[in-house]
Amino acid sequence: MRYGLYPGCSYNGTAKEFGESINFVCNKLGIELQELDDWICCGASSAHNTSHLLATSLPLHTLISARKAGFEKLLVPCIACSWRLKTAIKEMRENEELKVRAEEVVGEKYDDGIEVFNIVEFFIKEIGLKKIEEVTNKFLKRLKVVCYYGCMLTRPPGVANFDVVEDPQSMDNIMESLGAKSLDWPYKTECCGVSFALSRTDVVVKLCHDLLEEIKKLEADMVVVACPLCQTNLDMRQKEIEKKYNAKYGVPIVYFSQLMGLALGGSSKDVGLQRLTVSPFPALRKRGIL
Amino acid sequence: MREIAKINKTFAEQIKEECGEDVYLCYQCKKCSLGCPTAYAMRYKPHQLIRTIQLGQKDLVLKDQSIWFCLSCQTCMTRCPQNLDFVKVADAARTIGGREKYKNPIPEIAAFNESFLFLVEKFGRIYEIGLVMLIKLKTKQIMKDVVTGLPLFFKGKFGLLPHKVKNVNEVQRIFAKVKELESK
Repeated sequence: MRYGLYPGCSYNGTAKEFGESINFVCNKLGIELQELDDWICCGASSAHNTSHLLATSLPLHTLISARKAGFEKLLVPCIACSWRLKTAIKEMRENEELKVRAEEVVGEKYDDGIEVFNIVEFFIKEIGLKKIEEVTNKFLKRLKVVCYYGCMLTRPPGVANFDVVEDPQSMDNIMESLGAKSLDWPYKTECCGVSFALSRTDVVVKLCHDLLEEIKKLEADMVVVACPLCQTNLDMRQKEIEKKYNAKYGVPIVYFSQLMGLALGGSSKDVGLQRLTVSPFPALRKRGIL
Repeated sequence: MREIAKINKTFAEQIKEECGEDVYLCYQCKKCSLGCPTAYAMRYKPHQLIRTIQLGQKDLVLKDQSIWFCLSCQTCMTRCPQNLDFVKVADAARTIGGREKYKNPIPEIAAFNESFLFLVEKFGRIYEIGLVMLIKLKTKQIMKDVVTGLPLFFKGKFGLLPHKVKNVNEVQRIFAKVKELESK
């Protein structure tokens, strides 16, 4: 099956290893991903608190160009992007006036023919756990992981329409089907502070400290995430948090797609493990995976 | 014919017009504030902000930092027994504040939003290192995060040059058209 890909601005930047590992996994599973030609930003963290019309029109431009390229299904790996695209779809369905105005801005009509998937949803619904289990042969056995979903994977409930809102299991299930042991914990859907990293960094440092303290109690090998902002905040700022709170964590924060890639026979370079700030290599070697 | 006196819209009506949410649904159960990850930083917690809007205290909401601490994490609206979407209310209040020239009381967040949308309008996409530099210049914190950000650079995660989309005129037309329609 052929899918459209809307990579988002971080896919080739701060989340490069996310992009590399998704491309690798899809290639191995025989999924054809085709990047939308000349796509534009969804407005992400800023448009929605500046102008509702702008925050609807930017995603609409993407939805229309995906339709024009002949797609019905669009994979949107960045969680912020998938939130904005799914929100635009829902609000235009419920609010005809908004749809007409946004169409006037973009200059074209939209037929509501695109289904947007976040990346975890994509693997669960379009590939299925059974297939993942078959092709990876429990490769990650003995690895102990904690799945961290963050805010947008399951929220807002009427928009994301995916998994159990406050106790999601999908990423845990993927990890279990790869053979890993996934630990339960109460902070799965707490927020990391998202884009405040670049404005009120103090908020991100405090929220990530709360998360890391909880993670530490679980004694897991690594934390598994599916969002570029969760990953960057917990990984890149970990040293800074350790210094500020006089603590020691050293816990690797990896994308679930990186572990999937390893289980599908990828090398550490194929899935960009060397790009993580806190090195996952010692933990993976300890468990005999690398 | 006598003219009927024109009564100014209340703040709650303005919010409803902007986002469709009816703040009078709130009966102050405080679930939103208890789950809010940034309530600790707010002078007025989410349930208090809603109460303030119910009472028409527009300046109190728009001149204070509290509303700007909302991360849009959606915990509050997920748990609200009245299905009141606080995130939409916060977005509407911030939009109204911007339109009516209230000064954003958190300079770093104002700098982030201005820089972000400037780059989208200019290049069609976000150019991460450009975003960081613009915020540094606007907030005059040049050395902030240099040590934290450096590893990203060495790991090949920061492109030095912006990627400009081909149809950037199209993006600029979208921004201009939004402004035109909103000024009507």
